[in-house]
Amino acid sequence: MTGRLEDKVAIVTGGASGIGRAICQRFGREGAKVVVADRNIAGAEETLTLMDATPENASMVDVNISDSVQVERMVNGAVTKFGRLDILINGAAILIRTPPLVEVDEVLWDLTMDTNVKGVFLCCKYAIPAMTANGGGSIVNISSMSGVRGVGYSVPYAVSKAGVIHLTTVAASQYTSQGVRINCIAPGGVDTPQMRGSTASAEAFAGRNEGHPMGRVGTADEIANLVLWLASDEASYVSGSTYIIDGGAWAGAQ
Amino acid sequence: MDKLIDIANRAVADYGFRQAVLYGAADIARRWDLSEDEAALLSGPVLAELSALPIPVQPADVPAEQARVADVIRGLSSF
Repeated sequence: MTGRLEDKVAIVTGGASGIGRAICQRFGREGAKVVVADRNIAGAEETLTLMDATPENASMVDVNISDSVQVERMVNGAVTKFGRLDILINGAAILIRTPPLVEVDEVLWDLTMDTNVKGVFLCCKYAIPAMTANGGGSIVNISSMSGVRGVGYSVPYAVSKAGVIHLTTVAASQYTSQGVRINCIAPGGVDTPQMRGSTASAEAFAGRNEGHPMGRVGTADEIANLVLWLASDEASYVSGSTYIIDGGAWAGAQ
Repeated sequence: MDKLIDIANRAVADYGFRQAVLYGAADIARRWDLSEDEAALLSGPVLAELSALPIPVQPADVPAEQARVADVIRGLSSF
């Protein structure tokens, strides 16, 4: 099936790699006009190349999502270029491994919260008015199973991702009635450059596959499939929900 | 210089932090309260060193890489 996002305009933060890149590519194939938003400009350019993008159907923007001026400029730029904004995917995040809570440096806490929570807040803050001005839209926030479980390898990351889930709930309670559906996904382990880089060694990464009910972690494309559905009109009655997508790992752990 | 080495050490040991430095050096410099000279070193030659690191640096290699990058920083700071 193609054309599921025909003529929709989407901003994808974190579009330079991993899950964000897979979403950009999938959205492009489904007919969306895509703004690839990231601080990693080289990666964002590579995403555009992989999308076979033209200036008519895609663009990129260098944005620090914890800076309100830059976020407002990103949203205004998308509307100016493509005429509207229908979809926002909040995929940008940082994952810094930390020791247990007592030993966590305040600076790492602030850095993580500014990107992972404040960044999502700001993107929603500026995107929602652009969506309501045009009848509504769809926002998908990328949380993590770290925000559901008490995962210990990064205290600020886990708490920030829990914050994204609740931000989704609160925002949906306030803007669904204005036509903006706001949902969240919580992926488990996904084979991305971030996950490989944050796993201590190749052996440790292989171990994550072995301990999984499906014998493997997920792929970025599999995550993009769920995001596509939530962003599309097929999910027209879905708002305020968080979807776990972890290949059954959480179910098996309970 | 100690703060610059602290940043580099963290970036060697943790890929996520390294990305925060690579794509937000000015922000990191502000949060660590680096001097103008230190910030310039971070966004220039130190960033180049961090960009060239393996992903991830294997745990056994972290101390040696940290020592190597710290030596580079000390060398740069002596000018």
